[in-house]
Amino acid sequence: MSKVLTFDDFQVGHEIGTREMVVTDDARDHLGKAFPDMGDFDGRVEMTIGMMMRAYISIISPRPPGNIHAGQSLTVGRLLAPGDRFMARARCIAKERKKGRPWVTFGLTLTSDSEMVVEGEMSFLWAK
Amino acid sequence: MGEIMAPRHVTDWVRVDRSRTEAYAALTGDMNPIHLDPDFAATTAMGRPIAHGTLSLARALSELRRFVGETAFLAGRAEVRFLKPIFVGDAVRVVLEPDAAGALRLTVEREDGEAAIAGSFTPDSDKAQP
Repeated sequence: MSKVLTFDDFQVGHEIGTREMVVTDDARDHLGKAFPDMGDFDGRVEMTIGMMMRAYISIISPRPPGNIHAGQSLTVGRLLAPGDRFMARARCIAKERKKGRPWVTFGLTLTSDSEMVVEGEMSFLWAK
Repeated sequence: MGEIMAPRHVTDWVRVDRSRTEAYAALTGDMNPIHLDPDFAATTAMGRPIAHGTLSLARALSELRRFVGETAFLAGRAEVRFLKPIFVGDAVRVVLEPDAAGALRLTVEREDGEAAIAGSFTPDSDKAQP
């Protein structure tokens, strides 16, 4: 296992990593249990947000325990469904110490067939 | 920028129980013990397991999509802050209400009345059709 990512490891403007990912049939099963009251709605927003988080967990790793996800902004360009393949790309877009506490903002972009799926910014109070 | 002209919309309460939390952890791969392990959570400042914030955000955004329509949803930008923890077992509801600037305020409320997640959705076209 590689070294845990600390605040000092992140460089503003630098790419952290990329992953090719797929929405599996297992993901559909998990989605149904996480949101059992979706009724006849298709759950594609929930799936898209779930895959955005899966990309974050996969790329920005290993993380120290105790990070706090404090803010999120996003534009969704396309909704994902099982079987969809997508490319996820993460970069550090800002970091600063506020009152001595380390804040990091990541840009996370998901694309599929050259179409934007999600463009998001995630702000964390980083634990180390 | 498009405007969203609609009345306030409030969903039913949904309980974010252990089963939902475990399934969302499997969906996202986020197996942080703060969400899943009561013994571990008891050693933290939270004291007990907290649900993934984006589990409730995903539900709120899904409700938003129903409310404004898919075209407007895909043309806008959401910005939220995770203000308070949602503990595993808490019930939450989503509140959507237009603001004076033509955007939508988006809130995930806990049963105690506190806003756990709050922010806005800003449409980027004239396609909002609530």
